[in-house]
Amino acid sequence: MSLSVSATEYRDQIRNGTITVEEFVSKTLEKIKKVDEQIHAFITVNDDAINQARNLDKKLKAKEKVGACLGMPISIKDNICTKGIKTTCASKLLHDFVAPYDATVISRLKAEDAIIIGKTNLDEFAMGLTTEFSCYGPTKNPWNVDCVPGGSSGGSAAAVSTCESIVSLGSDTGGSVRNPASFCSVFGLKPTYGLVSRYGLVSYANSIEQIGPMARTVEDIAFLMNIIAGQDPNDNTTIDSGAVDYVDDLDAGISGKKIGIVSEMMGEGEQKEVTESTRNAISKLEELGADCEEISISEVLHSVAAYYTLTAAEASSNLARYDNIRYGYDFGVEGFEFNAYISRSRKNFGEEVIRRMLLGTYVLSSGYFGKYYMKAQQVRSLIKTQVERAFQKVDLLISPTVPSMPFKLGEKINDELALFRLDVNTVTANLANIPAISVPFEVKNGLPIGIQLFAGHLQEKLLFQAAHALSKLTKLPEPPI
Amino acid sequence: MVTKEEIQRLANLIKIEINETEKYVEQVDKVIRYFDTLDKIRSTEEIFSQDLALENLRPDEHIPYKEKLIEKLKNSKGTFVKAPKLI
Repeated sequence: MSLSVSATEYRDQIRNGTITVEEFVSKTLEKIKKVDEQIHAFITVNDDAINQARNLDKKLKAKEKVGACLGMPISIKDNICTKGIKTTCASKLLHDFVAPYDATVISRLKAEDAIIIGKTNLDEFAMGLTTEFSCYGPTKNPWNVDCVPGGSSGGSAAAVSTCESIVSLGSDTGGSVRNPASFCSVFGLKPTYGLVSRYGLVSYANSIEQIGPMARTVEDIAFLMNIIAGQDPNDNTTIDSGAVDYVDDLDAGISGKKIGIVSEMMGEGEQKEVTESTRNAISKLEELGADCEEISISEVLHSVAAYYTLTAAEASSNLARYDNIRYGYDFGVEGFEFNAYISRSRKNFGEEVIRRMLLGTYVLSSGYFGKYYMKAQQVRSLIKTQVERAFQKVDLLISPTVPSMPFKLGEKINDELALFRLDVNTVTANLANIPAISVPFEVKNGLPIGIQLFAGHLQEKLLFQAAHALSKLTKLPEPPI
Repeated sequence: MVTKEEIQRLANLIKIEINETEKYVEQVDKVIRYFDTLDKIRSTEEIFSQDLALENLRPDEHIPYKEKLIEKLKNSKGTFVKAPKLI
């Protein structure tokens, strides 16, 4: 039995009785045990997974109704609340927090009989793009364990890449699903803002972030979206997208579609291999009948500064709630005055989180508000306008997902501005509320390169069709682990 | 230039005890200088807001929660949570 199957293949095998849920889940747990010492994709593994698998096998045997996931093991980024399993956000401040409820995406997956196999590593509170800012230590890239897996959903990407789970859910605030997807050679989607409920996602930057699926095929991404997308009374920013079947018509192709190559995301400051790969992808899309032309979105140049200003501001307010009183780490309250206790316990936030809260409070301070925060909001509006204008001319946009290939652990950890530059191609989708997907396209010198496709507001179906067409042209190797 | 006093004031506002002020002065300053590119933008662009349609709000109904949440918290006693001294 192979763990390297797509969700579709897994479901076929369960349905025709080739494998049982218990066999697959126990083999997955063995795999986690075997590779995770080295990769460290997981923070928590679900001890109850095997019991859940046995129960589902019983139901299947008795021909009882079982949901569409048929016991498929799925990993979840550890900032999405799961009832009864710890949700740590890779932070000491939440190291033993067990949510009393499931996030909406989790209850939807459970209703379809998915099995949560474990919770994956991330940068603390999803702030970072290398998974090095986790209080539990970094995740390693399965393609080269000396390299970072990208982030902040690095654990999810590594888990999918190494078959420690069939699919995973991450969260994407400025590229946190797409960046690690690109670095670990898997698919990763940032959906349209409001398409997936954020209820139960630990807040970092509410106006920007979305939960998104990660998988080894586009079909699996579409399959997961069929389950998790849709309006939720517990998140009033969710939108009614109508009844769309994302799996249907995946093979429609892209003949006759217009694709805009974003000039500001090509060439300059980019690793040579990445540019070559993107050019290669563009010519392949042209061979499939797409019509590609350069298009400018000039505000991309200000997008990273605007993005960090807005997210730092939202983070500084969201993280104010962690006072270590109702939950948190073991630190007694005796002998402390109220404020002194809180300031002392909050020292246990990681450096990156503290830095962003300081920045967020700075840009919101009187005297600086107009200079930074308001300007960042204006840039966001300008980007939105420019992106909308672009989609009047073209159906899709294309760029490299990340301007660089995976780099060594520790290489950029002390260089904030170098890290910022890695976000330049991804933040636009978040600021403009549009969907974008990273497609694994090539492996050069043993390291993956991902291509990013964007579509207009709620145009996920078109986006998946294009990603599917592109991915059919590539035959990628399996990671060495 | 971001000053040591500013960082201390911000640290008080976010309620975090900071010992390595100098380090944060340097790091925050570096990023703020990067953010300065925003201040050069001359735009009259109206800020787009994400307005919420009123019909999207859920009904204002009390949904009882079955579990005793307070028991899940650390340092709880009966219906109370133990906190540090306020005065």
